[in-house]
Amino acid sequence: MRGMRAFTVVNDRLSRACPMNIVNALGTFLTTNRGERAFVKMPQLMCLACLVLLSGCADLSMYNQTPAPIGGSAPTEQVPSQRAPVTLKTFPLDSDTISDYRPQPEIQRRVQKPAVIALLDGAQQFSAQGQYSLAAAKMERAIRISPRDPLVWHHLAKIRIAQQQYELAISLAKKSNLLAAHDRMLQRNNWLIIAESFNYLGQTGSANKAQQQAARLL
Amino acid sequence: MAKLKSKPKKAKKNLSRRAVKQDRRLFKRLLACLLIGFLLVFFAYGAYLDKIVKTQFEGKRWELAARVYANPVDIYQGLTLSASQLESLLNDLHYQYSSKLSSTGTYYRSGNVFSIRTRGFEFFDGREESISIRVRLQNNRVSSIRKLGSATDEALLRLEPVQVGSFYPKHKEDRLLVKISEVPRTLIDGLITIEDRDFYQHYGVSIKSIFRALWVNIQAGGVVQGGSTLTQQLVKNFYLSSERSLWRKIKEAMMALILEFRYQKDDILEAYINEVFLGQDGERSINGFGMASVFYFNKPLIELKPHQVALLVGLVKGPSYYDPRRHPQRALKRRNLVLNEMVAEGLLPSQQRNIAQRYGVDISPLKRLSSSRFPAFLDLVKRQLSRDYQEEELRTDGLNIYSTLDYSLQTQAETIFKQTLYSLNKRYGIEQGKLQGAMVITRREGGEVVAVIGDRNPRFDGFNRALDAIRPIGSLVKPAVYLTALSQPSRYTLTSLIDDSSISLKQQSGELWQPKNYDKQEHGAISLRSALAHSYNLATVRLGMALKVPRVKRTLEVLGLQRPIDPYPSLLLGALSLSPVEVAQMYQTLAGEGFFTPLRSIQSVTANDDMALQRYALNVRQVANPSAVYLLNTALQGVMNEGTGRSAYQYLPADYGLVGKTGTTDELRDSWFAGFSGDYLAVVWLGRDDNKPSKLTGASGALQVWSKVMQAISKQPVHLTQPDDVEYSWVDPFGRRANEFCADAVQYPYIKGSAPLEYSPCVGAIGETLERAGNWFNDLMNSR
Repeated sequence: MRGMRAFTVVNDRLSRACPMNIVNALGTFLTTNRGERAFVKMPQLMCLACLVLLSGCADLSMYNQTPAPIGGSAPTEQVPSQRAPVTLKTFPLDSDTISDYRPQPEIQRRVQKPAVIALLDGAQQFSAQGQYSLAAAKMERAIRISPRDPLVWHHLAKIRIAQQQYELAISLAKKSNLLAAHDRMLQRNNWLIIAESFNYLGQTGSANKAQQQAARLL
Repeated sequence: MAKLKSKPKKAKKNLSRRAVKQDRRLFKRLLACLLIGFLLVFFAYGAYLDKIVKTQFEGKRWELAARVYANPVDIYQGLTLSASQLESLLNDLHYQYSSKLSSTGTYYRSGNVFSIRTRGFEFFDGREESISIRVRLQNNRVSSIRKLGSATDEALLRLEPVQVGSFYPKHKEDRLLVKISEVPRTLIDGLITIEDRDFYQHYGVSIKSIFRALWVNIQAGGVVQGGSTLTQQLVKNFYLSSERSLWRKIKEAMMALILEFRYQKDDILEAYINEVFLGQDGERSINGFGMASVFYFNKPLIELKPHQVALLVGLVKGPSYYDPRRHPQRALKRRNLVLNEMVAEGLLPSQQRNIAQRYGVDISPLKRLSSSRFPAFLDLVKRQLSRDYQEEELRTDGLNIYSTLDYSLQTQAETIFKQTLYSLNKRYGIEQGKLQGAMVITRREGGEVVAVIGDRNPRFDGFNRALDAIRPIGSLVKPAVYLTALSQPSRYTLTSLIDDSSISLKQQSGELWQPKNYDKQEHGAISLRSALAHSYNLATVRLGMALKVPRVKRTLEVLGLQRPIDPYPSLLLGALSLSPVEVAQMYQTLAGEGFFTPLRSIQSVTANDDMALQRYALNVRQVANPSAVYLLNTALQGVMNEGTGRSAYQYLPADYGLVGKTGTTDELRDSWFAGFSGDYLAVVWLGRDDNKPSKLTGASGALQVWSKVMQAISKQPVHLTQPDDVEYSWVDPFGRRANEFCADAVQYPYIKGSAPLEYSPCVGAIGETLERAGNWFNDLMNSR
């Protein structure tokens, strides 16, 4: 079990750096020759060689995916709320439009459950109309269905930043980051949310640090 | 003179005539004055009544109970759901079996395929319209959801939530408001036929009605019809006391006239339909046809068939005399009379009457819609609401409260809890009925409370132990000690050795405190990890003293405890009293991998007209270092794999990765277990109210309940997310760096840079070199 877990970790790293077929070939080779326990060390050493050979391919395989647009981070036009719940106490609905932190190439739509996709879409529509409370309600339904999907937490963070709930946005982005282990693209976008929020809070030092984290993941 | 003489006579006559005239004039004047006075008083009184009529009719007409709903069930592809679970859900929602899906709230099942005609429902985030849909199940999962006649799958289906309780007004009138547009035509026709035929013609009072009623009653030889109009009846119920007097009758008539003058017929009818008294359920009075429909037929009014509507109409005259549950024959006779009258009036085709009369009294069994179906959970809801709402608002404003309760999960947990407590009570020879307990279950992510049990008999609405039993938590405190240690990776790792040997400490009182291990043994130098797995007291106290108790106290606060904590050494072994729900809050931060999430029992609140009022949103805050929490959680997995929590795996699959901790207090007074699976966190406390020993350890008592409940509800094994700065390293039994080729070497997680540096002899010189090269490479990768 533990050997397997470590292997998965290394394998994940490899898969970002090396083409999949080589990783798979390595895995097969190791399994057949040394059994489970041999997983950990050998790939590290082999990959040293791999990396030298294929040093150019890493960035290609990481960033050339075409992302499907989801959760539009671009500024949206505000439409006055239809159901405008005037007495809603949670937060003012007339908050600003989604803040214009630099639009990133969005994460590819890797959420598998159609239910979650439907809820993400619904939330996006509400957000576009400035009905953030309702958008958040949709996202919380999505969390109930898929509680450990980092993308869902990420989108909730985006809704909160749009509502100027910066501290909450930071926490949600951090939560998303924790769950998004090894998804550098999503982690980067989360760090950008964090940086943006710290900026709004006037904590420039923390904002810069977050920005640097984002840059490291580029 | 003669004139003069005769004058007195005439004068006398004249005088008397004048006097009479004057008298008359005076009388007339007086009369006029009186009349004017009367009219003034009359109009003033009229204006006064008008004000009363207006204020109440346009203001808050009724005090409405707040309704508490369970979390609505989202059905989607891939959801684990068996056919029997779906069917029982539909039954809980009072869906009727109907092969034609003839009305909303019906379904039929053929094997694993369910066709459902849903009821529409207004949710916080929008309305779900009524649709006819087909849900297909395969291998206990939802495989497809399709609208009838459609070829594409729907992503989601949300059924209306089950109502789980109410907060009633003091007078305990219960009503479910209906709009006139939602009232079946047959009901209006029936009401008008039986109660007030001229309703649409009269001005509030009808002389014709009174005479006709008299005539009909004489003919029938008994009271068949009343003489009051619907408007008068409404006025009587709405504004006046039940005293019977002429004065009240006059007042009633005046108010009826005013009401008719001011408002439309439909408004008056709607008010009547919602006001009228139609039954009694213990203390609760059933008012209005909306509530009566649910009370007698378990269905919304709009779904009733003509014979059912007629039965309700018949009840108006005497809800207790014609009570269909106690006097079905009377109710039936009355119903048929209503149907016949409707036919006679030409408001119902006789064919329909014939069909309707074939039905018996098809009343649903009386389900005591007790206000405390889930008393412990509702108690929590109420306490959380009381921060934002006054008691009065909760009882009278007709709020809709959408809670986080998972209806099916709570029900399952209750059954298992009750059974297990019963058998533990018996097996351990505890005085009968003395073993008490409580349980809190939350979602692992998001902190939503899904079930609460506060008594050995979960339906009993008494002392709510889940919230109010404040008991010492014993070893449940230990994770806080170890988290404090693991948060200092330069000093402590999971494999750091600590000393499990006797220790005595001077307490503030001057007494000497000499803690012991549960097995009364000392275990010498052991790793931090196994000290926690086996819940060794001596090692924990030594570790805690080295860390300094106030630091442990700080960790407890960080994890979410709000109660004042005394930083005495005995805190390290759980001399801290908490309620189960507080423990759940503390462990929620571990389940959330370092993120604190306030526990919530409410999702949102809407007003009686479905206007969104308030949402209790998900909130998270990173409070602890996720890497340290990750290490702690893997150690708590050790508790379950090889330590005090082992027996859980008798119920759950071996690869479930459970995380948890047992807790036992002195002389076995309290038996605790707190832990989580991939989807739920649960805390169980067992013990006695009189605080006598319960004979149960955390493992033999609370853990048994926990495991059985988890077995029933949990569908996800635990996946701990390995933070980026945690790495696994091979270690030999002495905590030295090893590799996979060393015998007895095991992998443990370390926060980067904290893995042991000293190499185990088994690694050898070449191995060491290779290892260092590998590390160098890793560093290179990570610094990119």
